[in-house]
Amino acid sequence: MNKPATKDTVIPIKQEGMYRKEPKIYPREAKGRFARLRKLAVWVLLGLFYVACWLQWDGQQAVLFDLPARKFHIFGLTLWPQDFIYLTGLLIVAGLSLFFFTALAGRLWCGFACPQTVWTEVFLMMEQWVEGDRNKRIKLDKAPWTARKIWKKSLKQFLWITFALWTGFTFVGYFTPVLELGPKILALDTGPWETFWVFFYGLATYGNAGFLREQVCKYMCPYARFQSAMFDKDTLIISYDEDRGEPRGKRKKNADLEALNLGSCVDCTLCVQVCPTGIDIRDGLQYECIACAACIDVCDEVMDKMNYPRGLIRYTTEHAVHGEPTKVVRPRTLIYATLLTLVTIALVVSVFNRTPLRMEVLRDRNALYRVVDPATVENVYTLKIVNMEDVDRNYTVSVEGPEGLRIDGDSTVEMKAGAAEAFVLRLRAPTELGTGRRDIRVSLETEGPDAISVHRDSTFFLPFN
Amino acid sequence: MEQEHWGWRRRSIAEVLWPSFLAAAVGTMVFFALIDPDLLLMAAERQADWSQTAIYSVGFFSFWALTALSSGLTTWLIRTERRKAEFPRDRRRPPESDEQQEQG
Ligand code: SF4
Ligand code: SF4
Repeated sequence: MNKPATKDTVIPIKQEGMYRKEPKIYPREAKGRFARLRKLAVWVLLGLFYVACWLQWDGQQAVLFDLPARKFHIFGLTLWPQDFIYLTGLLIVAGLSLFFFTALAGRLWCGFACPQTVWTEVFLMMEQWVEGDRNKRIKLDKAPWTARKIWKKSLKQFLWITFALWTGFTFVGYFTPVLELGPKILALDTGPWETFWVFFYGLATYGNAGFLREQVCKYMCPYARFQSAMFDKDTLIISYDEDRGEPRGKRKKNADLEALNLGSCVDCTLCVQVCPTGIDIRDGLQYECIACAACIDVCDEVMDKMNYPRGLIRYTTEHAVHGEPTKVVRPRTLIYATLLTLVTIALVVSVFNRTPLRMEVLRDRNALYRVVDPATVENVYTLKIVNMEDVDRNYTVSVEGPEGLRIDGDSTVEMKAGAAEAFVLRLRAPTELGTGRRDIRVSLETEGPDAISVHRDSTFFLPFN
Repeated sequence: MEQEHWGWRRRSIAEVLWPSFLAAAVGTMVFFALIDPDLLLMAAERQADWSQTAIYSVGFFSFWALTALSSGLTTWLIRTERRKAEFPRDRRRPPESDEQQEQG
């Protein structure tokens, strides 16, 4: 069942179940500590996104998913599909961090770092800049379509669409070298899929940040639904101090609260007006609250004006609200923190110890062995070698195994930077070794300084009889 | 531009499309990390007249179609279940399931 919101009208429609009418939300701009913090986060995160694709490193784009070549370049490190494990590791680290920070500080992610929040903030800034503050926006929407309204609305749309397309362009710039993409777009010479993705990503940005906004958080976001599983009574939440605030009511500055029997809440409803999800935090913690702290900012401002202490709405924990001590270190945070540290260390160590060379040794499927002459038996293998470095390399192949085992032919291979190739390896051994199978080890080593090597185990078959 | 009415229909569309989008993104990533599109073309015995980007893109949208279909079916099943619950007279089920229905 849909849960009807407290003050909204619920109109049953035909047989389709409940239908909730939701008023459009016009968030008012909040100013203060947390608003500044969020603006900072917006600039840093979006700055990273829009700038990183333009950075160059060793003559190529610093961060690039080169799909045709199936390589991922990130600041001089080239990752191959075989390195997918690192990406998995990174995702696990990201997930664990999310758990950890949620347990500690609630929906910090939502309020400051989620792309949804960040892009919405930018779209709101543009809206605010063109259409003015909350009251002006409400008035403008109610007003008839005059030339001024048309101008304002089109200007806003123009800014939004331009920004969204730029976002789409930047996104594609992580897959197609951005320095090539720019001129291609100017010459209207992009591939059909590139064009498609620019528009698709642009549209997604526009839709999510300009149009859907808080609806994404309310209806679509999985994190919003499961984050409460990481909450406990020591998690930071944004909460209204009911004991202090109630009974709420209007009053004059410096009025005697005792005499009027009033709490600190002046019932200015500013906290409701700033709320991007349109809830009233004074009704208690609600799942719609994305912990953006805008209500803290405005409420503090009001408290300052009234000469009351700040913090009627504040970051607190359920324990603190009930006058009990808050424990930051507790089993939940300890477990998340330990896991996070372990996985991070493992990931970093393995990335730095990664050998940029790969080899597979495959036995020839057709014949187990071949008797070349009465004294010699031969086995054939295919070596698949990947040079994952960005320089050309020469390698030496060597084998260990029973006495007399040797390589037939050339034991050096040359490989271009970033090449993957297959080579045939012929191994010969004297027949006097007897019968059966022997374990062997094939090694591949670079020549020159800072040598790296890999080895693989395989088997060598001697005649059966 | 107004976003006033979020009926169940719109909401269901959103609830189906977005999580399936995320799932499709993960699926595409894993799939193409393991499988080279060139091999796919070879397996399909087609000449490589498809660009890599096209293959990745089509791959992604196929995944999305699949995950959306699955989410959509689930949503549909849940919805039609609810409809029965909301209009008990249409309900044709044995009486003993009534209790569960009320608790749910
Ligand atoms: S609820 Fe979801 S979409 Fe909204 S801010 Fe939080 S994580 Fe982002
Ligand atoms: S109630 Fe939550 S979402 Fe609304 S302004 Fe306050 S912190 Fe932000």
